[in-house]
Amino acid sequence: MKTLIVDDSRIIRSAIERHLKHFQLEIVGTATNGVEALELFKEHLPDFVTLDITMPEMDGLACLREMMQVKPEARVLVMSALTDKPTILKALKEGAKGFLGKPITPDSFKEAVQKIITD
Amino acid sequence: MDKSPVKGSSGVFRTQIRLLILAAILVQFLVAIFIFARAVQEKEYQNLRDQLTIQGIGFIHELDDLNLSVIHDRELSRGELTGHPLYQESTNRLLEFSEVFSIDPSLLYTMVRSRDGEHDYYFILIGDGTYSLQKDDPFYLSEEVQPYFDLAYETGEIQYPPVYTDSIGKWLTVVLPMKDADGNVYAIHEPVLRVEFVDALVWEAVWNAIQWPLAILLIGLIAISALLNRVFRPFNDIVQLFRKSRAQDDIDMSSIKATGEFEELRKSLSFYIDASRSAKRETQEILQNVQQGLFLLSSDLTIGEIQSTQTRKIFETTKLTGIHFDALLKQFVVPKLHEAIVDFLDLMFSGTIDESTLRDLNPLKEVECHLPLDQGGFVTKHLSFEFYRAQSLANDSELEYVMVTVQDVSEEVRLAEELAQRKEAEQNQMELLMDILKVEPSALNDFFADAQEASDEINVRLRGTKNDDNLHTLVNDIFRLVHSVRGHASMLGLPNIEQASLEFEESLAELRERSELNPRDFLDITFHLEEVSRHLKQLEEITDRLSRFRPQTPQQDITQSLLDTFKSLVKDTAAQLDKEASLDTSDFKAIPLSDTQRRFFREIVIQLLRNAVSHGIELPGEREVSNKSSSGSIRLSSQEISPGQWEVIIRDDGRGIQRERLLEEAQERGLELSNQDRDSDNLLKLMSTPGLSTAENVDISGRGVGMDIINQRVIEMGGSLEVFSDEGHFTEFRITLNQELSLSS
Amino acid sequence: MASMQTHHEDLKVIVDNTINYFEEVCGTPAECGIPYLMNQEKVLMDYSAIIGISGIRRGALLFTAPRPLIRELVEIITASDSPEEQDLQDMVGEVANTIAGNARPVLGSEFMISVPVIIRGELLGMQLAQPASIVPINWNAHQAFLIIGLE
Repeated sequence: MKTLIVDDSRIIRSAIERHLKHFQLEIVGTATNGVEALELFKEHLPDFVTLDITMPEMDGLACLREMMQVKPEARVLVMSALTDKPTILKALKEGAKGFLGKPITPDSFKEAVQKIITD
Repeated sequence: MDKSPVKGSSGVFRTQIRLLILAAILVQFLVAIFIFARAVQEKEYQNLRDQLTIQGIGFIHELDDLNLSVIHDRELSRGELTGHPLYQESTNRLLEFSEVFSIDPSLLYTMVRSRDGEHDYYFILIGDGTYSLQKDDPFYLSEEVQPYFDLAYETGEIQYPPVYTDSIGKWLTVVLPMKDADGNVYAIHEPVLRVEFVDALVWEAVWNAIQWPLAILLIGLIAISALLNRVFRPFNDIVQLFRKSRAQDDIDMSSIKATGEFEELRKSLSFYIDASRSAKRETQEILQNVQQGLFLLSSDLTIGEIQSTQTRKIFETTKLTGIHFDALLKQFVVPKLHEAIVDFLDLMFSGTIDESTLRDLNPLKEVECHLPLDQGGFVTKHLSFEFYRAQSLANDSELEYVMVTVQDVSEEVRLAEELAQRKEAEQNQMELLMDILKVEPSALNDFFADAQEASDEINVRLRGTKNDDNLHTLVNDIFRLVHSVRGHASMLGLPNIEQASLEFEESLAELRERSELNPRDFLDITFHLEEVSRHLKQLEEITDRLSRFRPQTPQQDITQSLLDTFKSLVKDTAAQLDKEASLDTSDFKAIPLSDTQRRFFREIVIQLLRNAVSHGIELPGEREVSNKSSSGSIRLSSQEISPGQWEVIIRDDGRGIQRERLLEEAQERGLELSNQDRDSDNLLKLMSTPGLSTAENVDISGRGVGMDIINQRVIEMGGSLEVFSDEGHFTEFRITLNQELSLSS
Repeated sequence: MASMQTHHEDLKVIVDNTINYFEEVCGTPAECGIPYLMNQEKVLMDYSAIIGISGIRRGALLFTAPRPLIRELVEIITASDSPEEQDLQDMVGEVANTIAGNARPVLGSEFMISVPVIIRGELLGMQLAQPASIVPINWNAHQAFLIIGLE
């Protein structure tokens, strides 16, 4: 499963990479902002994306919207602080398959990823 | 419940209708049979006609006229013929027989009217064709021709439909009366014809036609009635049962009579009805008693018909069924939240995201709702919603309903908030406590008095300023007052107050920089003033509590330190105003006061002393003109006038109160004054009138702090205040304290 | 600190609404006086209207005015010379309602207001969230007070 990681924080990115080792996933790229994420997305057409919804350059929702136009069957896991429920709900309506509330713990991450890639 | 009349009347009505319908059907049936019979009859006649071979035709005149004697010269006499039963019958019955004279066979069986009614009387004439009229033998009678009288035995009743072969036919010689050229009448013996008599009555035809259908009908009726009894009535009863079960709960199942399969059906139905009835009852119980709001949302977000009683209480409305949930929410939550809930419910119904994931995103976990009330206004509640996908029993592919539970958690939220606030307050108090512990009690008391006074003064200045006064000066003055409070707080190490005053100062500094000041800008000042006062109050409360744990300072010492404070206050204030003044406390006796009272007392005296110095005592030059010593003198004395009754007097030898101007001003302002009010006793009333003792008053009365506030404080500590003055000579404030009363209370 | 900042900004919005109200309705603008804090003094004049406020701010708003001011307002609005007592009471409620109602678009719909309670003359035991700010409103030589107590 081709995987793309999108997060503006380097620490979170590496944490996600580390957590993803437990799964049979092929990480095709990591992006730090929406624009970069879209470029990588169009290039690799990944099956699975972890997407931070609050990012510089391009708003995560807009990024998600474009991804869904390119490859609607891609499974996008949206990550955001739980306090911003309206945005998460918007993202799910736009086509995200799941969400993960921040702060991320190894367990919550595994559970969310498991759910989304086996579904 | 009396329901029998309804049942009865509807039953009778129904029976009548049924009878009517039955009668109509019967009539129709009979008519149909009659028509059918006629058709059958017609058909038979047609058959007969077709079979007839008319080889010749004669006519039968009235039998009377037949010259049969001529014919039967051998055996028959006329007398014999007329005496013959057939003759008799013929003359009786076929009166108008001649009228059917026709060669058209169809007319032969036209209904014939005879003496005794109408008959179908058929004459079927068949010529045998073997005989023809012979010239030489005009009266020849065939051997085959039966004697006439034979006819008598051959006529009679016949069966319908007439069967040609079985019909009775007789040979008949027909005599035609003919005229010859000379006018002589001859009876011409025509070829012998065979006449078949076929006689049938109409009703017989009808009877014949209807016999079988009638039999079938009867059997059918019997069968139908049996069916009605065995099938339709139980069926109808069961249908009725269903109908009733929807309308009411207490129907008697045993009232239905049924047998066989119907009994089984009835049993099954009553089982289901009982089950659904008890389920309904249980549902009602649940809905009434469940302590949550409970209802279903359909996919168009309308609220379902079934709601728990609590739902209506929570939403403060009974009109919920069919209402759009989002429209309902729109009224009482903020728009952004409303948008989120619509998205949330869309996802809930769409089923693309699993329920447990969605549940974490429920935007209505605990929301503050402002519910409009029917009688106007609104009530604020904290509501907690939960949403569940309700899997339909009928159809598991499409989600039809989302179940919603809602709980009023206002109380929990309030308690949580209270707890948080208390924790915060405790935290603050702890910090304050630590701050206070570092400070000398007397220094703290001085600070409170100063700060309180500064805050009062600021408010008095605000109140007394008109829009066209110099607002910048006002800001500067307030700044100075705040600044001194801040310095004092900082020196004593009271960070809360220092911080609040600093913010106040910053806000003032900003205002000071503005070239134009608008009165509304001063709202910033009232706000900060409020903040500082709040902190002061907090601090005071804690100091109060703390003082209980501090070693009691002897009364004498407290009094002395208080008097020292007063003295230095008078001196300092005077110096600030380029005046000279001293305070004489030699006649002051220590008054037993509670802690709170002491602080009030301290404030009151400080304010009165300040006023005395700033407004009562004149400048040294002025005093000399009035033949007074350049240094003003203020006297503070106290005395127990009766047990528990104390009197405190503050008297200055300054310019006194300019009463006339005060009165004038009061009258200008529309204050109604009685003569009594003009007495000096009521100066205080004048000075304390709300809306009057503003800055203008301050100038007239010569008092700095609003008298109404001072008066209020005196009343609060359980005393009363009086003012006496002689213009140009003195002003005296007299405070009376009823200690027994206030201590006991 | 942010919420505190909005606190007196809220007050300003309400005061501006009041000024605007007189300008819009009567043509002559009102003038706001120097505000001060309410002490224990009696503040109610002839006609007063109190509106409860809840939502993000809790408290009350009180508009109190002398009879001549209210009378003049009614005369201007209804163009009649002899307003009835009920008109005067309705008027004071209307002023309070408009002021508070107009604050909603600015302060947000979370700023909820109740229906006004009209008080004729003085009222004992009146409670406002203490301390409250008193803003004098001067109009046509009359003085009314806007009293705002918000948590």
